Amino acid sequence: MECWHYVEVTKSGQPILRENEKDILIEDKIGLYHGKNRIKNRQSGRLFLTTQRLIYVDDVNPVKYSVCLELDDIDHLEYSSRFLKRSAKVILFLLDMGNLKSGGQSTSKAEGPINEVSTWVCPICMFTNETEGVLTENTFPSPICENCGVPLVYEMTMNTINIIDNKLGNSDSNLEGSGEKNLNACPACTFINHALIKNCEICGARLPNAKIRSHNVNHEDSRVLIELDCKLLRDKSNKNSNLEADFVQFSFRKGDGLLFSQALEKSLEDIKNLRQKNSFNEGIVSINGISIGIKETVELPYLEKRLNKFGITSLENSRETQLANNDILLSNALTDLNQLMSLANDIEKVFKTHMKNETDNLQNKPSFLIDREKFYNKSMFLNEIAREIFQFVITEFKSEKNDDIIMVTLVDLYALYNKTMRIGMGYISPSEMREACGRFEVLGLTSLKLKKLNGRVLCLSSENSFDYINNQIIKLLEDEPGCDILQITQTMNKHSTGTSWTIGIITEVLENCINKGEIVIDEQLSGLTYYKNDIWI
Amino acid sequence: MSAFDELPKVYYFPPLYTRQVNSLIRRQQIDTWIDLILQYAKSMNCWMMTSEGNLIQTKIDELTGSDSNAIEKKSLFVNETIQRSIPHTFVEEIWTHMVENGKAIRTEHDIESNSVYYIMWKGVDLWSSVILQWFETAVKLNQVVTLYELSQGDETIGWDFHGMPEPLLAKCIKSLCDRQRATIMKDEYGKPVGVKVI
Repeated sequence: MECWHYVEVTKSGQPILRENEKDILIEDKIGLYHGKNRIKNRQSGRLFLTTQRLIYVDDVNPVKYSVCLELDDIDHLEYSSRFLKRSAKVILFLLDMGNLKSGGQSTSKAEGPINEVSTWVCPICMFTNETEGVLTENTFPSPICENCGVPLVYEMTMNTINIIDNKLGNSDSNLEGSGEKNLNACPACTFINHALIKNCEICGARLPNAKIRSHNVNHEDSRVLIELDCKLLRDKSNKNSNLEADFVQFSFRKGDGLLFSQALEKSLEDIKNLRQKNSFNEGIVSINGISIGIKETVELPYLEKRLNKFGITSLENSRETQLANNDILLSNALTDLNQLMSLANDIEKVFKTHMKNETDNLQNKPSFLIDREKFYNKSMFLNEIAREIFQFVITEFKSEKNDDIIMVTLVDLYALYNKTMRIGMGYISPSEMREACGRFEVLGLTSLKLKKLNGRVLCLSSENSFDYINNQIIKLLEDEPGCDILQITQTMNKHSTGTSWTIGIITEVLENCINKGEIVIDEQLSGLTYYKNDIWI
Repeated sequence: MSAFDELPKVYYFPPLYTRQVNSLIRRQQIDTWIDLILQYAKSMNCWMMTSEGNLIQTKIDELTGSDSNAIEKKSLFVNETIQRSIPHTFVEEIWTHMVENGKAIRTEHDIESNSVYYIMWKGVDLWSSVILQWFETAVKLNQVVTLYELSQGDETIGWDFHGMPEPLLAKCIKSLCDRQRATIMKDEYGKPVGVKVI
């Protein structure tokens, strides 16, 4: 049961991803099983495969019932295809939590790959080798001697094996008492996180000891309530054993899910590969001035020491070459410095713009990328787009005072949405947007509706927004008769801070008022002005 | 101009000068204009107006002598206080409605290529009954009375139809003839000059 985690989901039913997390594939109509039993309330939803998690978003109540599964917890998977009434399933075998707890550190496999180094002496050539991890009898494949290339035979080298714990050596000075186990250092950026955190606060990478940690703490997330649907009567012990089941299943009610299982398998593999790779300081050239790998070949001489020539001319010559060399060196240094400065400027610029963006939209950063290629068919894509548009409109046009009054023409929304959300992923077409907006009702997003104003302009609006803006305009014209549309727009937007009523909307509402006879017009050379109709009723 | 001051406040409502798009509202707007014209003509004691909104003070006969003083300089359709005027096409529409409603009758005369209208602040039937009433009170029944006497004579001073142009007067009396209450006498050119009310 501990494998299920709580996941944050937006009101429109889209998961909020972590930093550095990317989504890969989405599958519709999924049911969840824990062990062999159905999980209650989680039998129809969408399944998101991301680079870090499998996220189940429930169709009925996305905020409450959505759960996720860390890809790190998955050992391997099996795919079983559709057979008669049985729908296709992916069976995920989880890593054994219990084993991890007790034996996780003794296996040389994955945990903390850079923490420990074993040294051993080759029995053939007596060369002292260093191997990452802890060497045991079971280490497979056996490390090979760097000097003579003969693989290690454990029995023969047993005595010489010496295990050095790097971490212990480095850190006992600055953190005593907390114990080295609780040092939750990020394998990617070395930031030492709080002991209970599972993903690095700085870079979002999965922390290596997350599993052990969560197990040690043994806290239960109250937000995740898993109830199994046991159809068959079983005795208690049997039921308990079910709770401890080490596999979960995803059932594909629609479609065969073959593609999904392949994608999942691939991402699992990727994760495993990534884990074995030394992930930080990748592609580095030098650390603290000591170069690694490629050595600097050309060294510029400061002084020509070899004076194998004689006489004053040769001395003068050598002096000149020396000066010339110094010049080259100096100018090289200056260009380097200039480059460094321009780089620094660039970084500063990026930082500044980023800071500005951060402060601008602190709460609504784009959480989720919707890419056409991730969807099997257009309908699913549109559903997802619809959700995103809904969320976008809700957050973008929400005013502080009346957060339920939203009205925006589809044309404006189209431009805004494509410019803010779709850059880099391909714009959606107007007809797609139209169709997506039409799907709100089906997706249970009822607070916004597609309306046709004056029989010609399509608008996305909340229930009472039209009357609201109508009354506002009439009130405004009562106070200040003879406003033109610009003044109306300005005054309307001055009053309400968050929402901006676009000129398109106001034009349409005015048009509607004129048709109803609530407002009369005065046409001059300078343009149209509007008056409240008090006389001709 | 004092006559404009007496007009109701709606005269200074800017949208009045723009043809309203909404047809229901426009109908009411035109009605407002008709009321304004009638009220204005009555207050100025005038019977005729050019289609441009200028009142005509003198009799139609004298107009042919192109007496420019007879025409008011200021047009009702131009409001200088709020700097508005009615566009020409809308004026036409107003006149059309006015004629349809019997509130105005088009004359045969044109001034400076503008048509001239009689402004009927009472309907033709109403005028004829007023005239009949005068005949009864002035004990002129079964006598021949010239139209000039009716329009300009001392005996009709104080009556609303005093000063009414003779062609209009003839039109009103015509309806009395239709009711067999009057006979019109014409001169040698066929122009009505006198009337006898039975």
